[in-house]
Amino acid sequence: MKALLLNGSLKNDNDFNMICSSIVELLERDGFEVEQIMLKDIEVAACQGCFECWVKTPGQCKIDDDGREVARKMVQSNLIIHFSPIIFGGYSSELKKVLDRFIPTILPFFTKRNGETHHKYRYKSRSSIIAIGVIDKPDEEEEATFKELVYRNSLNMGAPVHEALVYNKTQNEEDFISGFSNILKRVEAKT
Amino acid sequence: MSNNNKALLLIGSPKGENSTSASLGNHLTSRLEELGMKIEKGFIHRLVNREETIQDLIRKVDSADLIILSFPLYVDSLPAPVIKAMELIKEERNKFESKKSQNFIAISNNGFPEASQNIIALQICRIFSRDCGFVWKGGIVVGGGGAINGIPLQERGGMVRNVIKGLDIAAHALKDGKDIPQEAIDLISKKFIPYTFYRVFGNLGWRLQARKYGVKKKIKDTPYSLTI
Repeated sequence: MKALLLNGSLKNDNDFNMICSSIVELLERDGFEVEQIMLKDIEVAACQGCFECWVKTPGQCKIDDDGREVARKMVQSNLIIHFSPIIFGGYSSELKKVLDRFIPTILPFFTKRNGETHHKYRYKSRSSIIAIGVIDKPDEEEEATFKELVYRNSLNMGAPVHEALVYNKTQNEEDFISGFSNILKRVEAKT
Repeated sequence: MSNNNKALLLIGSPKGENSTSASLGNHLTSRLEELGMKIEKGFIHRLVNREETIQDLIRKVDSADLIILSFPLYVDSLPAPVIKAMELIKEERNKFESKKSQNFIAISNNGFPEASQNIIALQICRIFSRDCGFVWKGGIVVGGGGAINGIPLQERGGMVRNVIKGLDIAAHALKDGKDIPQEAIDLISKKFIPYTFYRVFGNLGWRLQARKYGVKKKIKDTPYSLTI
């Protein structure tokens, strides 16, 4: 089982290192082969919205940078951890830059799913998602938006299982890790 | 009474002036201009990567009475460079307390026919507006962006008549410093193309484009599959 931790920390977020280390430790303890990518340290250009990855070079972005490799790793993982400070209820720009480059891994064709139009999946095997959002202090509006975003991502990316967990910095870190451990068990049971 | 003379249109699509985000934003600002507002425009993808252009973005935002953010929905949210711009604007606004009242609206369009799929992106914009101390004047969602495809709305004709009518109503309200009326929001988000029709012709369009590039038989390739 492979787990990919996409760390969307921003330039001043070094205090997240402890949390990420604990998450990696838990995943490894449960038998995952874990890779963590610090997204602020890699080169990923913005998606150009050209759709050439669908109609000219199917399945691959024309931009030859680290974004291609991250997309490959996302496809080849059983579990993806979206780790990010919660920015206005959503992901940081660092995490979003790789999620935007995920679109080559789905098909252009439309289908109806859950009563809405979505794209068909390109790959039969798809990754589960656990999203972890870090917030300075509790904020109901931001937390609800974040959880809804993760749910919608799971629909579009075809995640067999998805979970969203919020860590607020006023919270005891051990409680958070215990919560993550419970979620991980649920995901493992369904994956 | 607050000054409401200057509007800034920020376009959040990498396609710039040829985008549906620009078609929608330009229509609204052309009406605001007719009503006497001065209009400034900025293309976010060109503004967020270099220190001097970031300063230009900050200056544009600081000097506006009304900020209009028009963007395409990317993976259920805003495109990464737009989020980066929001992070930069918020960071700047943490440094001082703004003395003037600034209004903010967002226009989100998507390539799926259902306008409702833009709702999370609008929530993110509303929280951004709150955290920056802007006055949220409302959000507009447009589905079926592929049918507009970056063409000016007036040239798109009858199909988008409700979008045009709604933006005209919104312009009058915004010029007076009011919220976007619900009537305008409802008109703009109204289905302007049958969903099944959009899906069928959209799928045909993808196949035709793939054929043009000689990859019709490869369109479902799986280059990252572990089994190849």
